[in-house]
Amino acid sequence: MAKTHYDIFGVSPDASQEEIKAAYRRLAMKYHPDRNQDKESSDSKMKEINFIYSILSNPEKRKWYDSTISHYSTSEERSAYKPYVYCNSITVTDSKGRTTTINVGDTIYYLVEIDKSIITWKYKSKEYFDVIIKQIFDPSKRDLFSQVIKFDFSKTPLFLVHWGNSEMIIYREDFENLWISSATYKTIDKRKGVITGIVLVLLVGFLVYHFANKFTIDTETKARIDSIQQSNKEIIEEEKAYYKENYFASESEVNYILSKYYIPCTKEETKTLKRIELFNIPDRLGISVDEIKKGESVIKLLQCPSLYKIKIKYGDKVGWVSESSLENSFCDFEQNDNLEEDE
Amino acid sequence: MDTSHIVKPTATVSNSLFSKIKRFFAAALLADFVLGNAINVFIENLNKKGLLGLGSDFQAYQMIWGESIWLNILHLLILGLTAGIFGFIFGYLSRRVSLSEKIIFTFFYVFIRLIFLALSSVIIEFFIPSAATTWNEVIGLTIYVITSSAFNATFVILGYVIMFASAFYLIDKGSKVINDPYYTTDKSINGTLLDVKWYHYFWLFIPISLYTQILLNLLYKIGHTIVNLISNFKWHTIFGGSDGGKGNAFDVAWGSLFFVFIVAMIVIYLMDYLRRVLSGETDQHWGIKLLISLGIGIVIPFLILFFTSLAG
Repeated sequence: MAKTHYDIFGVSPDASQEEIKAAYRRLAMKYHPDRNQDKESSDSKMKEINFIYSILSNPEKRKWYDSTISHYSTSEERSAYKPYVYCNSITVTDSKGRTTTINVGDTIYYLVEIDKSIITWKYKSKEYFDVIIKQIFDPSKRDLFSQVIKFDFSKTPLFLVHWGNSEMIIYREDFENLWISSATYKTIDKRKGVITGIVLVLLVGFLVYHFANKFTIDTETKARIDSIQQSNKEIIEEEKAYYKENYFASESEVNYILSKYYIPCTKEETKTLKRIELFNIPDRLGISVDEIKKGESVIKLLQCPSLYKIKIKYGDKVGWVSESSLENSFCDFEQNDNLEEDE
Repeated sequence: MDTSHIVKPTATVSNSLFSKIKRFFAAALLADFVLGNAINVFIENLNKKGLLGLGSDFQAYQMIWGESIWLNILHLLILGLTAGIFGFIFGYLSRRVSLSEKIIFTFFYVFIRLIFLALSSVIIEFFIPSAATTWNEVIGLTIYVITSSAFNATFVILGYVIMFASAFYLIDKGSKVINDPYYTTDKSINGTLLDVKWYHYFWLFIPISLYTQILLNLLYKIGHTIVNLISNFKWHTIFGGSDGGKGNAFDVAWGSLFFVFIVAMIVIYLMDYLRRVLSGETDQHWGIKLLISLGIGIVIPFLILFFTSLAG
């Protein structure tokens, strides 16, 4: 439970300056480092007492302080009272001399030296340690900070930062000497990144040049490859034209025929066993393009054995149907003699 | 401003180069060999249905997808997506990635095959000098065949550019998510992804890969149903006119979409439940946890794979 400055001094809020001075002397005698074994603890307590006395002994500061607690009448209410001493953003100068506005939730960085090793080689490297700002202390409410947190009274609290479940105070003096803001970190990072990028580009340029020379093929081989490619292209174009004309095959279907996924049939006639839908592809989830009644005569064009589908022609309609919907689904493979001779 | 739930990771995140390399391989394996592979298998299945028209010898990891500009654009999108997933996971796992590291690791991810090729060339030249000439000729011929076609060369270069841009951009996004002060997952235990310890992913790739295919199948079925509806819908049926046919294609499309949608919802629920079981969010006996993990992670995926066509 937070206590007010009066509670800590053991006096009432309307105590006179003499009473406050007497309380200060009493506490100073009690907590003086020379009279206590735990010097650190008593030193810290003395700083706190001095800080409170600096407020309560100054009528102007005391008046302002009283205004923040005046609406609490009972001591219980005063004990539960925690003044809001934070703000959402602040403009500060970091250790690199850059002045930036820092907001709650921002990250700030601190350069630390870390011991590292690769097998037996030990070395030190510098890395940035980062923390997230949970609260920013409002400088105009400095006199109330002690009611919210315990801190080093010789310094000015700037940020309350979060590390997992614990918190840490970063003082303005420390921030200005040791920490950098997110904006400064990004500038440093960008500078290093540009250098890395340039080095990488130079390295890649060298490797490309090196391997381009290594993997070069002579002009004779190039001419031979060009000729083979041209000849293959002509044969393929001829085959494509043949299947397009004779099997009403689309560009896609020709690719499947050439890779022997679809088999060209001898164009036998058969009858439909039921009313059937024609699909644009052999799969059942193709798009229905038309339909044919039961008992109609159709011509078998292509077969896709792995999907049990046949491409048929009925009048000017073409499409894929399942083998089971035809009276005779057997597809006699047609030899393309002309093309084989060409090959 | 309420800042009570701002959380900074308490898990120790090492920023050493070795740790970054480990995360690089973890992200690359997850992106390429689990999610990327699931996408590739799905694309190959679509091709086998006769939808893509790339021939039966097509394999999705080819650099060029036929002669169609649209299919090659689709390929670029998939490359960009996979590289983006890599970037996001790498950034997420690393928490903080400097610009230099982003450049280096993205470069390695995008050009890893070429780097291995160059390394192989050096090794062959050093240890088997007699085979070096043949090796160099084979590589030279391959490069020449690819680059002699302006179409192929353009798409190969575009592929690398898109992969680089996507991975580079999403590394930042990944680290932003994990660094978000209000994001609480993966902040208290070391070596986790979605609060599941890293070693679980050595077997989790099986359900992830298969369930990804089911979700991709859902996307395909949605597209298919919409196209089927637009191309076949007879507007007079709205006013009570007879359809007179076409019922089968509609039924198949709607039925299939409906079924895959339900299964996809169940899959999402099951994956989330498996995640909660593995991350220790559920309070169960270890035997029950083992049974649930095996059931959701191994048994159901294999049943789906062998007895249904849900994975496309």
